[in-house]
Amino acid sequence: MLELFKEVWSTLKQNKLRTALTGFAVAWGIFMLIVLLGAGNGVFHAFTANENMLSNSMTIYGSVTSKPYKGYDTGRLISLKRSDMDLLRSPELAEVVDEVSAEYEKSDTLVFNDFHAFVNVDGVSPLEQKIGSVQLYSGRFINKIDEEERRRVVVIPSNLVDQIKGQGCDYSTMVGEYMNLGDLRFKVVGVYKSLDVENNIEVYCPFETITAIYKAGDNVESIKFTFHGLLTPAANENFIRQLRSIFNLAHDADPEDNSAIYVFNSYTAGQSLGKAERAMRIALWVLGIMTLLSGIVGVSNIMLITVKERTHEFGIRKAIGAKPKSILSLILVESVAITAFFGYIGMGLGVFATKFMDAKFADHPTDVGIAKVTMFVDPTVGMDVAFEATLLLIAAGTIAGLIPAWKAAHVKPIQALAAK
Amino acid sequence: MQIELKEVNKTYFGAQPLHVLKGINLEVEKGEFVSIMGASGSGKSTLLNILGILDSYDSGEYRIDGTLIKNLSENKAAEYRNSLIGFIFQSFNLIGFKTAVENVELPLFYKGVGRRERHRIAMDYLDRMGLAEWASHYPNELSGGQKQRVAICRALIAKPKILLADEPTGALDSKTSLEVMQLLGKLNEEEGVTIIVVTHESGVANSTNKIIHIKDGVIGSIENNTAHKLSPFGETTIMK
Repeated sequence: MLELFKEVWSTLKQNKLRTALTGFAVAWGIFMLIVLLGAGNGVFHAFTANENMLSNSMTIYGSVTSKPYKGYDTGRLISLKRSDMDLLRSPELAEVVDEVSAEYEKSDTLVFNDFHAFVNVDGVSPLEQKIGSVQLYSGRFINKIDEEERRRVVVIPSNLVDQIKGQGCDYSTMVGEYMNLGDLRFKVVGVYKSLDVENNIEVYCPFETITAIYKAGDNVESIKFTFHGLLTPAANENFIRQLRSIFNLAHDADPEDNSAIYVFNSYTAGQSLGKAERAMRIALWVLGIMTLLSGIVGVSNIMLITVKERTHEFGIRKAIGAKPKSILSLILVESVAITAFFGYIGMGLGVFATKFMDAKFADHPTDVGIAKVTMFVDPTVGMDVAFEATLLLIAAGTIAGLIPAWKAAHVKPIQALAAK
Repeated sequence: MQIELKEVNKTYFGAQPLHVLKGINLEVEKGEFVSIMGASGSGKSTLLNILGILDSYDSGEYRIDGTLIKNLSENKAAEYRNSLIGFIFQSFNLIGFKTAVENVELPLFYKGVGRRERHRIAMDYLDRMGLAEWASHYPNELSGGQKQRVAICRALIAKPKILLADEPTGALDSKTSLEVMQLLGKLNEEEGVTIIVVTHESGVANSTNKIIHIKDGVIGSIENNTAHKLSPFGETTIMK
């Protein structure tokens, strides 16, 4: 093999410019492929970073009826009640449903020393930490005892702390401080990592505390629950249909009415995101390979010219005993060597470019009008892509060299010797 | 009998079929130094290509040491060319981007001999031709005579049974031509190499011990030329 590479090297040295120009097309192809895949990864990493739902939870909101039922007209507002949580324990649903919690939301003014802000107050149960994938920077989340004793405690987002104390402050210093929500004093027990929706401040308080303070009575904003065992889209649909009919009946709405309550299923939402991701990834690969294809055609073209130029030499080689196989491998190895060498240069530059994108554009929130959202997170490719691209390059080189090599290997020695 | 041709026929099928060899019968003993002489178009090059297993023939039989050379696969033909035949060409046919010693090594490369061993043997042959100093030179840095001697080294290195030379002096001046022919004579005499030279020059033919005349695709007369009285280089011929 080493012998073969030496042979190939000695011929490549003959045509430096031509080899370099051909190689550029290949390098460019693989560079584009890596950059495209890197950018795609950046977008999808950003998606998943902005996505804060645990993969198997559903949220139910009250909505507006669209069908008349039991003497009620359409357009009736359905508001969820605390007792609706028990509906999830009904035998048709209980098998699938795990933990259930309710949420009550209100907007109010937050005051801390001289700082004022209008915030969303979320009355939540400890389960919210799991369902909403709340990530704590400091302190703790709402716990069971907070709920039972209706403690006035609050978990505040990091962007609020940033606004109060400035960027880069120590979040733990806020834990234990007191601040006013409306007219009442709350103790800060934790700081969580806020999502990128910077203009919106959302604080968490115990559900029982909030419903009591705001005199919500039996009303709840939404009911969230975790579930398991719904593996197919059909199973998910079926479950939601059952859930609707049970909830609708409890609120005197037509069991077939699909708009009386709103159900958000993070599991199928995640699945369709996964599907979109796969589709986009395939599209990016196809685009990249198409770009690479022009490089491959270039290599193939050059190999054809090379074979034509070297026909006489192959004639000499055949006359002194070269077998078709050895000529074939000579051309194939040359082709693979060109593609692989320049491909790796392209890959190196591509990886460098993705690192550059990572450093320059990643994790910087982009203002999309209503909020600032990070569009790009870790736009790099992994080892798996580098490995796949290597395989692709070798395959590409082989394909590029195949026809020229075949021609070279099977030219008749006298014809080859006669060639000029 | 080392080389045996029986009723060998060859026709080139083109727009106008061309019957080039019309039943060639030829025998060459081991250790002979033979020339095949003929005008252009006589079929001598075709005969040489068949002898060198570079071309096929339509009917008849060609045997080297009793082995029938007919309808060979490309691999088998390559193997036989490598082990049985050494070629010397008019235009030397050295590979331009390889040094003299690398050119000489090539047949051994195809034989599968290791790099060091190959190099050692090739240097040995070059040394015997007085070309050791030129081993790392490229063909375009060598004179015509040197190139042909490198080519002879390459032809000999795999220890072939037959050395085939196609107008070996065609690109050389008469002095160098004489030297090359003397070298071939010496190889034949001292090492018993069977040599077949194809030429249209009487000077070249005169250096050989037997002259086979070919005309219009058939063997004409076979002269014994051990006395080398035909016509020496540069005298009666107009080619040089």
